[in-house]
Amino acid sequence: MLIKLIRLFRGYVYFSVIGTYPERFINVLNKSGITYWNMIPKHGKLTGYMLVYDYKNIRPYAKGASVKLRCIKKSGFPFLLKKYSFRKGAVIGAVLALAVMFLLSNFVWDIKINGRERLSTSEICSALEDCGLKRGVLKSSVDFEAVERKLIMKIPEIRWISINALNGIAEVEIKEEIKKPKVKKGKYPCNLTADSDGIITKTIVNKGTCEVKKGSAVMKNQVLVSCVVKGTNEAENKLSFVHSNGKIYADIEYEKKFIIPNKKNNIILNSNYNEKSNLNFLWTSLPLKLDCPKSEIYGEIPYEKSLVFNNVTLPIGISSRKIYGFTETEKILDKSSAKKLLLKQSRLSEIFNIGKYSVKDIKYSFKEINNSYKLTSTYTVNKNIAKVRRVQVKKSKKHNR
Amino acid sequence: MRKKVNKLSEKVPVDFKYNLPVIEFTGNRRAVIEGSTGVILYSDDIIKINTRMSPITFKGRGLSINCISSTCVIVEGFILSVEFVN
Repeated sequence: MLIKLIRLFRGYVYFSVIGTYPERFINVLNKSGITYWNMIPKHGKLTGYMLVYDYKNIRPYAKGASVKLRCIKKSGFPFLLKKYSFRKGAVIGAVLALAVMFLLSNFVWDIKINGRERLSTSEICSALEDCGLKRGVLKSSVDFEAVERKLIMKIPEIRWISINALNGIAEVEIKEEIKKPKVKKGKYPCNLTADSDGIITKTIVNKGTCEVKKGSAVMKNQVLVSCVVKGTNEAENKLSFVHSNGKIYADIEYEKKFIIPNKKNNIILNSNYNEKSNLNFLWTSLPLKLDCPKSEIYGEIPYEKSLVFNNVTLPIGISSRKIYGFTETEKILDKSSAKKLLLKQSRLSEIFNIGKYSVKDIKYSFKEINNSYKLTSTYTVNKNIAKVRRVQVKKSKKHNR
Repeated sequence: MRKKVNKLSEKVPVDFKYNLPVIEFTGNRRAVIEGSTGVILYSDDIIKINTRMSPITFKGRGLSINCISSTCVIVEGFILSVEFVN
């Protein structure tokens, strides 16, 4: 195969040897070390193949052996080049294309991330960009081993990483860290204390000694369930320390304040919509539209579309920005609309903060204070207030004796 | 001393001793001739190769020279007879 390729590249001829003694010509060729192949007798003459370079030099030998040479067919790259030599543009174009391909293959044009599970592609890509690996960067300017080290330092969730840059594509192989399962430590002695002030409504004690009763008021950090337990039998009439476990429900009251000024700046979407597109080619970005947004306040939504061929993102694409114009208006709030707005805020806060507890009572008080409106929401909520607090137990020497 | 020389000459291979060509056959399809000095006749039914000893004629059907160098020739085809002409 390789020999065939070399012959094709150098060019060869299919020729015939006509004469009384063509064998003499073969002997002369052998002695002079000229290569030929497939020399076969055909219709009283010999036919064979020879490289163009050798064929040019065998005329004297043919004359000496008194044979005539006839070239039947010419094949190979030099003849092809000669055939299309008048099409200089095509040849130059082909050479240029090859040169450009060679030049561009030295850059990273696409980054593929394999093996990620919890981490997002954008997160890894932005970290890679910070480490110096991004689209359009020269391969030789990037120290891939250093990038690997930096990325592991930057994203601790990555356990192993390998970057292979081949043909303009940087393939990032990642193995994520396996998280340790949380081990419940429930053997140490601990009390259950109140995490806020309240009135006890219900007690469920699985382990430990309950120190409070239903209806009693407790303060923050007060012990609700003690870890000290007395033995029931006389023989076992000793104090022991346990890991207290239980739920203590209490009614808690807390308030939240919401304040808004009576003058409010509203930003409203107007009809000024514009789309700005840029043509990205290699490292350059050419604007397709030269319009500018007319509004003073505007928001942008960027998006990018790149040409993909055979699952490889090519360095040609369009990046666009949808630009929306906004206008700012000042609005003076009246009492009723301010109250509505504050109530909305308060309800939103209720959903996120106290949505999981059972709400017993809500009181709202609305006031107008110095160019602003104030809403105070007071909630009465029933929730589990027990909080685990570890207890240090030291064995005294006397007791040991 | 003479006896020793004679013993030594007995151990030397015949082809080396008399400068004879070595012919190796693969069935009747292929023959490798080492020690050839040139081709005398080349057609698809007769190939005559000159050696240091005497010309060797291969007769058969569809004969061709597969490979040739200054001292070695490989003849391929359906070989029917080999003649050593003196």
